[in-house]
Amino acid sequence: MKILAIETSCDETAAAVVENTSILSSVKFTQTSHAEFGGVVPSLAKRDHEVKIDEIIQKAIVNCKLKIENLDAIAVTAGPGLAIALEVGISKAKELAIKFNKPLIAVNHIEGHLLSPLASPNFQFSIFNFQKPVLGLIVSGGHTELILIEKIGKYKILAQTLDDALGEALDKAARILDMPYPGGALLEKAAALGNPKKYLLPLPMAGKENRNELSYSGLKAAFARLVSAQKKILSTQEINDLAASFQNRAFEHLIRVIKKSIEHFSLSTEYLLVGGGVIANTELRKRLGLMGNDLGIEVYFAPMELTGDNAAMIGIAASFKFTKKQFVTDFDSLDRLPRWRIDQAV
Amino acid sequence: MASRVFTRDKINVLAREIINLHPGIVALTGPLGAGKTTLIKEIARALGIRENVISPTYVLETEYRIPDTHKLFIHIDCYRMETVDELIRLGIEKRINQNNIIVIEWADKFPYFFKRYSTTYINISLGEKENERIVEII
Repeated sequence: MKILAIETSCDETAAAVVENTSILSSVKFTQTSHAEFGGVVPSLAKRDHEVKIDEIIQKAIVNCKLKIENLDAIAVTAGPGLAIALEVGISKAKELAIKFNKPLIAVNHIEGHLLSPLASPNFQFSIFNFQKPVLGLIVSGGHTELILIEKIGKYKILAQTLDDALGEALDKAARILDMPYPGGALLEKAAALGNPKKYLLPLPMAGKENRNELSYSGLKAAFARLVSAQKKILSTQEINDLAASFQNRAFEHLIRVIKKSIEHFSLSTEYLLVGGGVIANTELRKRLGLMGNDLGIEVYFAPMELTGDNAAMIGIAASFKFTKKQFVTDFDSLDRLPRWRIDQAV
Repeated sequence: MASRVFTRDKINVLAREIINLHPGIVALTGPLGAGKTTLIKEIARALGIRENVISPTYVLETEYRIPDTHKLFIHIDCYRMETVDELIRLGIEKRINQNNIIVIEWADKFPYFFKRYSTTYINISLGEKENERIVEII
């Protein structure tokens, strides 16, 4: 079946057409879409979903050479996210579902990220016979969650951040080093040239490992203090070493919590799905891969084009809901759900 | 008010003190890593909010209901905002003076906006020791 998916949960205005887990088209508003912004889109305009949504949906439809009439359903992100942003996508999806008489599917943004590895060409669908538990990890600018996939549509959060998301922590550490925000990618580049053992930073939640919680605020505070204590202009090598030291601890903490959670919940898992913007980081992919080798776990990453927020992942999650006929029965009752947890029903 | 030094374990005392001021808007200022979100988590806890209060930097705003009241605890982060229009578009003006408690991080990015409202400013800076913060309530 073919589904039109719409995603406006935060910064991106996105639409896609998917057929099961195959992406027929996927469009995001990008800086080059509008010459009027001269290359850099101000954040206000970036999040102005209302003026861009029709054009983005139109492009997604045209790109796959279909018509809305030929599609089987309309899917939309209902949460979590920013209320006023979610509202735009939800209203548009309702409008199209009514106009073209299509079923409407409400999708959780995190479930979208979680299932985005399914779009990867090497994904083994046989893991979904669930003879062994399947784990999911979301690492993005807004979320850091370790999830047990009991079956598709039934999830349990095993661990999550108490304060900052991993992507946010990396962006802010970059800012502390005077890099422009968001500088996670610049931090990664600097870190690749630095010595991660040069500066000693605290390992978050040390001694509280049994709580299955992530925390980045203490590490960020220690890093701010370390950088401000340098009291001189930092050399490039020092910046690289500082970046490497921070990134190293941030990833070490994540992997430690994943390992502890697997142990704590006595999971005989063999599979880990990983989604979210931070997996664009090569070092993190490498470390998760090594962790997988250590534990005998196969790690499936989302394809690169689905790591940031996008609508294709919403379509993939929706395709499973379509099969189970999980449609929105009363359109008026579908409201934005800014804090919708993946373990909660709509 | 003069600035005072607080240690991490006394942050609940500070949170209580802030609530007792019955503020409509609490504007937190201070550098990255000062503990703005940490203090807000403590204020939320003192108000009886049981949900995990996480940083709204990415999502810009998170809203919680204060238990046993009709009031909302609205947590806004201006860190990623470039213009005051983004703040206004969140509908903040409508929600001020509705007995809600609005806590705002990086409010100093838009000082003129907050001048129009009765705002309690809390400035946090790093203290001498690792677990110390210098706090000024204005």
